[in-house]
Amino acid sequence: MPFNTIEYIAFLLLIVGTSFLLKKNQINYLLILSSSLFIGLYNIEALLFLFLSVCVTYLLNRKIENCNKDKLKKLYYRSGIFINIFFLISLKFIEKKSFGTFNTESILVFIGISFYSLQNIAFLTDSYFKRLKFKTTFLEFSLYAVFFPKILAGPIEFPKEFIPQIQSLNDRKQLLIEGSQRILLGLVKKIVIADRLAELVHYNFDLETSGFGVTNLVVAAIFTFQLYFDFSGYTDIAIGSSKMLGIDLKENFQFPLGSKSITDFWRKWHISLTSWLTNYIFYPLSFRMRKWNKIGVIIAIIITFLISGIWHGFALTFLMYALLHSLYLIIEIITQNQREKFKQLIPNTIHTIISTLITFNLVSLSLIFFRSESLNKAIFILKSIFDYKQFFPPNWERDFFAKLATGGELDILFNFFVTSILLLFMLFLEKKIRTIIQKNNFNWFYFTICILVILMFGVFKSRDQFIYSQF
Amino acid sequence: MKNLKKIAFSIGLVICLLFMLEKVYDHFIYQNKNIKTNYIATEKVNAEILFEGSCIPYQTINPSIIQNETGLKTYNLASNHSDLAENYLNIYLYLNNNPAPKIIFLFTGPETFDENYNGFNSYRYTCFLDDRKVDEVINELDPNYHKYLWFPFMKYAYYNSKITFPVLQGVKHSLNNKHLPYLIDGYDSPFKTIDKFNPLYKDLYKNQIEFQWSKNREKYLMKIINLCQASKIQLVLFDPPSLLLNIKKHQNNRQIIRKKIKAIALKNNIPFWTFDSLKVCYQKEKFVSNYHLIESESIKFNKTLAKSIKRKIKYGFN
Repeated sequence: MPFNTIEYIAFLLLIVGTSFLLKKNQINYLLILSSSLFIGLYNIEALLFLFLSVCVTYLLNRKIENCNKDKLKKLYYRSGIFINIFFLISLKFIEKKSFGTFNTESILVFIGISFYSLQNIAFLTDSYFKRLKFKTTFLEFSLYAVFFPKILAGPIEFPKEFIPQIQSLNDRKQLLIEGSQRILLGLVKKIVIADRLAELVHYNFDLETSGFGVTNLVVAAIFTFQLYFDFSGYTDIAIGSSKMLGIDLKENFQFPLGSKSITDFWRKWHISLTSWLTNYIFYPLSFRMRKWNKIGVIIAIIITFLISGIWHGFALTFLMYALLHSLYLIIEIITQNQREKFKQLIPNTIHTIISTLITFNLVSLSLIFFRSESLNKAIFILKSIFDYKQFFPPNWERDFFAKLATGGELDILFNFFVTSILLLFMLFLEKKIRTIIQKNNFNWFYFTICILVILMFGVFKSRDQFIYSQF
Repeated sequence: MKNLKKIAFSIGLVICLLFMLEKVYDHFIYQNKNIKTNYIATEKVNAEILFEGSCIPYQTINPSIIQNETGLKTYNLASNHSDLAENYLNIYLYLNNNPAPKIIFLFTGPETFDENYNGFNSYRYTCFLDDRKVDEVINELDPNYHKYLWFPFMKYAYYNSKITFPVLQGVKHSLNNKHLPYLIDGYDSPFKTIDKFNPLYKDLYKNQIEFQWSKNREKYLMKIINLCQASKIQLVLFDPPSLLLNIKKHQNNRQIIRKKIKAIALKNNIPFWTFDSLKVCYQKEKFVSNYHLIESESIKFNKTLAKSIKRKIKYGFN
């Protein structure tokens, strides 16, 4: 039951409606039941496995909480971490269809494992280091792990932020309108923008990869937009659904495509994963290597990104994507002083434009590895971009204008034009839309426009899975 | 309460707007004469020879050459990416508004019967959903689309990327009071400027392939045969020249599929014309792709075909 289906909307409305008929202390049972149903409808094995993972993690957490001996406590903690990592790695190997390559049509055998494994690790770590100031019941922990709006692709929640919310649920009426309007925004992003862009990207990456740099550069940029609107659209639906049930999920994106540096980009892109990696990998590592100053930080960055790459899948393409980003960050650290000096030399607006363009292109280039089915394909594409002889196709202007003159492929050009307009519209107005819909005030104009835009320009025939639900 | 009123108002407004939008689309898409199904169902074509099939006849058969040679009005009804079900509906819609032609040439290559090639494009029939036969075929071949048709505007929303532009074109045709399509005889030659074998197609059959015979496609061929017999139309199955130099190496069961088509033709007393013996089938430079001749060669082929048709009209097809 993907989020971009009528079935999901009906399912959500049913759960929200039922929740209003129940007493506050009964709602968590409803959420557990509905989450189990949601996962079970995908795959019953996934549900059973998730239940096993929840039981083992909770049991070990109880042992950690009740144990007085430090050594034993450490043993329980390390066993918990090991078991969760073992589950994550081994099941990613089993799930052959989705590991190693980019495949949105893969069968989701163990849905959400990459996401809830990290949450389990966060829970055990916070519990071990006594960062949790509250006791958690089995029901609350289970809901933290399986809550259906975030099971497919996050956001990855921290226990100290999520569990207190289910211990005292927010006033759902206040969040109902905001949640539903947020879902609508997510649907527009996914169905109208990401899926329209997906057609162009799919053609170039999977069917007829162009040998010309300019095409590949444009398609890489288009994929960057697709990935952003796909994943942030998913997140909007997850956050909106959760709000309708009285729970606030973490924001995963803060308009990252306007970032002025790679450091800035990672503060705004997939925030929940970045926060997890920072808190549970990068900080402990850099603390341990603090004697080595900058070198220690650089090593910590490389290791953190390597783990991030492996988390995406066991493929060289994901590793290269991660390594490239660690390289970008290292260069940023090394050149920090020079960049500051350069900033002083030019007007602020020009600096913003240049740095935004550079950051966007660096991200696009790295995503070529992320999207390519193999390392060879990615290298082929990158070669075409950096080889000036292969950059423009011969006679491209003649072929382009000949098509216009004879009326050929006008519908394709029209669709490209419509997609570009919609994309630009959303890029520039997303922030404003988010502000409007954050008020608990139903905006009839916004609602009407969203529904019309979805029906007039959405993609219904080939509904792709959300990209990140494959991980 | 205030929000509830607003929600009810918005839902009502959206439904009204969708109904209105559906009517606007209904009106203007019908005015678009560039959509072949609209043209043949609303204007009199009165062709005596019809060509039907996928992109291969669409981009190969030039009706003006056939017409010059045979003296019979010729129309190319073929369309890109179409399968036999679409060909069946096209002929059915044509016959609803036009007198029966003397001859229909139907393209049937080995890939015609494999469901991995071409398909049924429901969006071409949005104007004819009220027709029972059209509705039946769509329900059978595109049930996902069919199940949403009850919802206002969904018949256009589902395939909007294929529909919005033709609707706008319909507005233009309506304003200009246009009755003729851009391609008057239905033929399109997009390969005017290309004079070399297109490298895009070079890997099309890189790996050995075996065509799968689809019973469903066969069923629609039989429907076309029955429709032609009922309307006393001479049906001819044909497969224009293809680049055998490339194809023979990669298509393992090509001859087996050919034999099956021949058997159907023989059983129903229908001629099946193939052109494998032509020299051009082994000349790579005469093709744009494995199936599409360059324009100059296509003209030569059309002349040869026209002469054969003329001879058969004179001496009989069987």
